[in-house]
Amino acid sequence: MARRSRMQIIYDLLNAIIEKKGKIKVTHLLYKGNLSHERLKLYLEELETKEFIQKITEPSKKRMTGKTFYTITDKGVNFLNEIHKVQELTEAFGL
Amino acid sequence: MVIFSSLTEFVFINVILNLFCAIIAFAVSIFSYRALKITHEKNFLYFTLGFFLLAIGIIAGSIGNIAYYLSIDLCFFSNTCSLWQKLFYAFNLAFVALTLYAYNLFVFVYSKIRSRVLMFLVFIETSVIAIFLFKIFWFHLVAAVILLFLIFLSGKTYFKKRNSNSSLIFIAFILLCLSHVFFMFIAQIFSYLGHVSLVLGFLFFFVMLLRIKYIKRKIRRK
Repeated sequence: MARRSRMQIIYDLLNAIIEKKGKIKVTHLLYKGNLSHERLKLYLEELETKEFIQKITEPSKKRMTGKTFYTITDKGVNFLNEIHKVQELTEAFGL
Repeated sequence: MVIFSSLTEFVFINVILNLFCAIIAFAVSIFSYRALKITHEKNFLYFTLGFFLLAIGIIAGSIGNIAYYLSIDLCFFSNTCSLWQKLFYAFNLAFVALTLYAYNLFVFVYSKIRSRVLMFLVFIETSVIAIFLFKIFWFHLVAAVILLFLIFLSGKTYFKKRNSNSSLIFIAFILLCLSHVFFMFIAQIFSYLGHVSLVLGFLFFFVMLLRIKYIKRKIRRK
C-alpha cells in the first residue's frame, strides 16, 4: 500500500468525523485514521489550532473526567470540500 | 474558401477568441494555485505556472497580431512601419517561447521529472527553438509534437481511471494538438479550423474545471 500523504491523512480524519455525523470519539478516530496514538495527537492538535475541529467533553457516569469527543467545525467542512476538489483535480490529471 | 472578408475582421475575431482562451487558462491557473496553497505539492506549482504562462503567451500573441495588423494597415499613413513590425516580432517571440515553456511544464508534471538540471536544459533548448526556429511553422510543429506526448500520457490516465474529468483533459490536449497542426498550413480554412480547435480545447478544460467546482457532491455534516 502506498504511503499516505499528509493531506490524505487530514482528509481521512475529517471524513471520519463527517461519517460519524460530525462527532467522534478519539478511539474511533484512532481506528479510522489508522495512525499511532502519538501521531494522531499531533494531527488533532494541528486541526484544533486551525479551528477545523473542536474538542468537547461530555459528562459521563462511569468516568470522573467525562467523555472526550471531536466535532468538525464549519471551517473544517469547507476545508474538506476544498481537499475533495484538489483530489478530483489530481485524479483528473492522473498525478 | 473565404471566411474572413477583411484583415480587420480576421484580427478582431482572432483577438476575441484568444482572449477567451487566455481567460480560461487564467481560471485553471488560479484553481491550480488554490490546490497548491492547500497541498504545497510541486505538481500544482508547475500546473499553476504552466497555465499562467499559456495565458500570458496567448495575450502576447494577440498583441503581436494587432501589431502585425497595424504594421500593414496604419503604417502606410505614417512612418511607424518598423516600430509595429518590431513589436510584432517581440510579442510573437514571447508567444512562441511562453507556449513552449508551458507545454514543457505539463510534460514535467506528467512524466514526474523533478531534476532541476534537466528542467534548465529543456528551458535553454526551448529558448533556442523559440529564437532560432522563429518561423511559425516550426513552432507549431514542435508544439504539436510535445502535445502528442501529452496526449499519450493523458490518454494513459484516462484509460486507467475511466472518469469524465480525465476524458475531458484527454480530449482538450487532442484539440490543442489539432489546432497546432491546422495552424501549420497557410490556407484560411486551416486558420479557421485551428481557432475552432483551440477554443474547443480550452472549453474542455473549462468544463472540467466547472465539473470539479460545482457539479460534484458537496460534503455536508449529516
